[in-house]
Amino acid sequence: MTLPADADNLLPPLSTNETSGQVDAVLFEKLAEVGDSLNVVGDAGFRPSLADSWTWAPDSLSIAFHLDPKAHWQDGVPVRAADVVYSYRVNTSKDVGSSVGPLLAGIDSVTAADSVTAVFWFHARSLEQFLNAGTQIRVLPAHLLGNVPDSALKTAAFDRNPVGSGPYRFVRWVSGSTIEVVADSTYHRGRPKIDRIIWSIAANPDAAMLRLFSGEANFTEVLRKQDVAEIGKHPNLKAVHYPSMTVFYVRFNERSRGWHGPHPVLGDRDVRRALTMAIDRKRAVSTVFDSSAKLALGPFTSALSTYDPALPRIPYAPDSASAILERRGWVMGKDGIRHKGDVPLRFSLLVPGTSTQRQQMSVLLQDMLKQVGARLDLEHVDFPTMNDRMEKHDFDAAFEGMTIDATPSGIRQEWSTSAARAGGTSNTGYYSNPAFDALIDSAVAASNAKEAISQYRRAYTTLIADAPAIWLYEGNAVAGMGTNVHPAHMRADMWWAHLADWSIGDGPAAKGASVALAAGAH
Amino acid sequence: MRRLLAGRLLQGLAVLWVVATLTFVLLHIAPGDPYSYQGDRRVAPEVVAHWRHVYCLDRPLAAQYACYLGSLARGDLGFSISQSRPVREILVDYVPRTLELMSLGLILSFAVGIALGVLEARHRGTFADWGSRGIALFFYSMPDFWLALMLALVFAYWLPIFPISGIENVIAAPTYSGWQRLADHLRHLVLPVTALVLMTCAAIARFQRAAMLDVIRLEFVVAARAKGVSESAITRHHVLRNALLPIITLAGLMLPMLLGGAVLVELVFSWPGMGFITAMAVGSRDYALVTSSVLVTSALVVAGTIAADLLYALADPRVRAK
Repeated sequence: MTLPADADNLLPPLSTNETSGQVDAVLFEKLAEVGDSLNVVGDAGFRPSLADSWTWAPDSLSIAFHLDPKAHWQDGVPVRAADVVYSYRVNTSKDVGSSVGPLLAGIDSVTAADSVTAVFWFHARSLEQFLNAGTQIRVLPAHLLGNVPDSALKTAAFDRNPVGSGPYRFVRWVSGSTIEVVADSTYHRGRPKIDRIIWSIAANPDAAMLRLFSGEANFTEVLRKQDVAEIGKHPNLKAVHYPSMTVFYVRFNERSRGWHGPHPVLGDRDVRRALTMAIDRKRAVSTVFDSSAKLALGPFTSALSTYDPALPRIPYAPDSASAILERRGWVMGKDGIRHKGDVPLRFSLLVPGTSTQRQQMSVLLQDMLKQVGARLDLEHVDFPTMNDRMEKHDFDAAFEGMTIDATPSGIRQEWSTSAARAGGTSNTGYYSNPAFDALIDSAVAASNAKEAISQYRRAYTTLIADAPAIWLYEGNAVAGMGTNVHPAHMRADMWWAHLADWSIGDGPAAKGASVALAAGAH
Repeated sequence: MRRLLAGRLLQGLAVLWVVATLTFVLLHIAPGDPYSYQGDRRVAPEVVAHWRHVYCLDRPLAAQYACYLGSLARGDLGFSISQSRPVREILVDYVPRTLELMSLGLILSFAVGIALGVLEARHRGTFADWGSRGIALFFYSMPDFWLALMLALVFAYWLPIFPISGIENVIAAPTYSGWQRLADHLRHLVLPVTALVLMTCAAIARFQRAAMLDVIRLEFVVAARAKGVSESAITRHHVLRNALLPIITLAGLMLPMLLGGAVLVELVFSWPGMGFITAMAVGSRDYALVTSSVLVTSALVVAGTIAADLLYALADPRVRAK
């Protein structure tokens, strides 16, 4: 598999990039896995992983996970409940700073009832209790890491030479070049189908594509529009579409720069709605993606369990947009730009300079807004600059792409009033609506899935109507691979979730594979 | 000679300090920091604040600079946030790969450049002279990035003779014996080294040709020819030896150019060296890694320049005497 970024750290609580996540997923296990339906409410659809069963307490304030007694670390030591206790502690340690930590806030403690039973105790009941306990933590070997101080984990030798309990064993990591794992024939859930997986690091997407086209790699996770066209010329390659959890939108900053009062243009809900009405999203998306991308309805994708295609949306209606702007006092000037007193209907949009598609689309948006008398200035910046300016609220609007997780309650971290007040990179446009906050709180606290979904959808409706952003499109995920590669279900949140179930059939292997197999036969 | 060396070393240290300071300041005044971009995923603000505090990123610039200089004085190059390990360990992995690429490129560039220069000087005004200079100029005038891409396209994709990128055949390498591994590695070196050689040998050839033509006109060459010494012996023993002095200076000047070229070549051929890692570190605002990479690169250039000065002094008694 070729991809344009090296891993950063193979110790799951410390790994932050996607390459590390892919490698960790085959080396380390969670107690359970989210099912293919991506349901995250209760425990319906969840699959056993390191735990072979679980039991809820009658009051639902604790869950006991029974570990598969056959599960063992790759050095032969059995996996024990003490490993789960240790892993929870490490993930919540401030000295480690795991990104998973905040997701475990609802867990009071984890104890070992016996050597193969770990019990998670919760502060309160919630529909995502099981999700947080069973799937947020990758279990680590306490017998190998227990003596390492938390603050020293970042530099532990284990990080680059990990020992897990998953379907693959770690073989080697050549910095900037290769990470290799090999199938563990003693894996407690059965040997995986592919013998070896090698992540081959390319310096950029072009180099990654050339590796795929030249036969030096079997798989690459993302094809760009031009790559999809090119792949058709190679009979040994195929393009495979898979669902995505990335959504793209133009976020409005509802406060003035520096957050001193409302934004002179975008602080008005009606103006934001009018600007959204001015955008023919269908045409913009089909122009840039040749109709291969899906329109986004809100800050979620169609892969999410709470998605409803019937959610109301702000229509494309430029005449209505002009009428609303007129009504709000924005009068068309001689220069073709509307003004309200001395204030022109003008704002700037931060666009990542490295994203061709976002650049193309921003030009279309600029033209469409001009038709209703709004001037959009484009500012092309790199990602760190864009995030820095958003964090400092030094922007009017930003063309963002966000990968959401399968947890519907994650929307609170990004769009709630508390997220805006917390600062950082969340809710940088200061969208705030107490009605939305209350609906999300109700959804999270709901006692059953049906009620939760209903509350989430009402919250989505409120958010969409407030137009804190122009929702544009869902990520267009297309992987390139050899025709002999047979992927298992590619999940929207983690396409690599079922990597252990992938197989290689007949057909040309990657260059060098025949040599490697012949040598392996000896 | 000792005074020359001491003077050059002091100058070198001053250059390194200026480079370290400039890099530090420029990097820090650019918007963003190592935690400004975490890809499309969201990291909790309290986690980010925790790490910013740990790495002094929440302090004023002057305090960060003092922190940086203090670490540098202790020989601590810092911790790479994007790579999640000490910078020293990263450099141990990546610097030798760049040195390998660069030293091979340097040796072959000079070998080819000097040979072409000699050939052009000996056959000046002929078709061989014009042809050689024309071809060399053609490659010299090409943008580095484009030349490397063309080599990859032609010799790895259209005519799959050489590997397209990387340092080894990632699938078969673990099964290779020592010699097979070396041969595989050398095959992976062919295209990046060729790109470096094509980028630089034209300049060396032109220098060498001009130096040869200057020496050929001198009286001792005329005297040797009058004594009946063969042309090839004159070229080898009299002209070439005396025309090599300017080339030593050129070697010192070529180092930065080769290092700059190596950055592009590493990116095109995914050669995991200093250029590769520095480009990635700049994109993620990895302060410690970028400043250390620039510092190491500058140290290499300074060391190369000092070595060229010393070689020049050794080769030319007049410089030694001064």
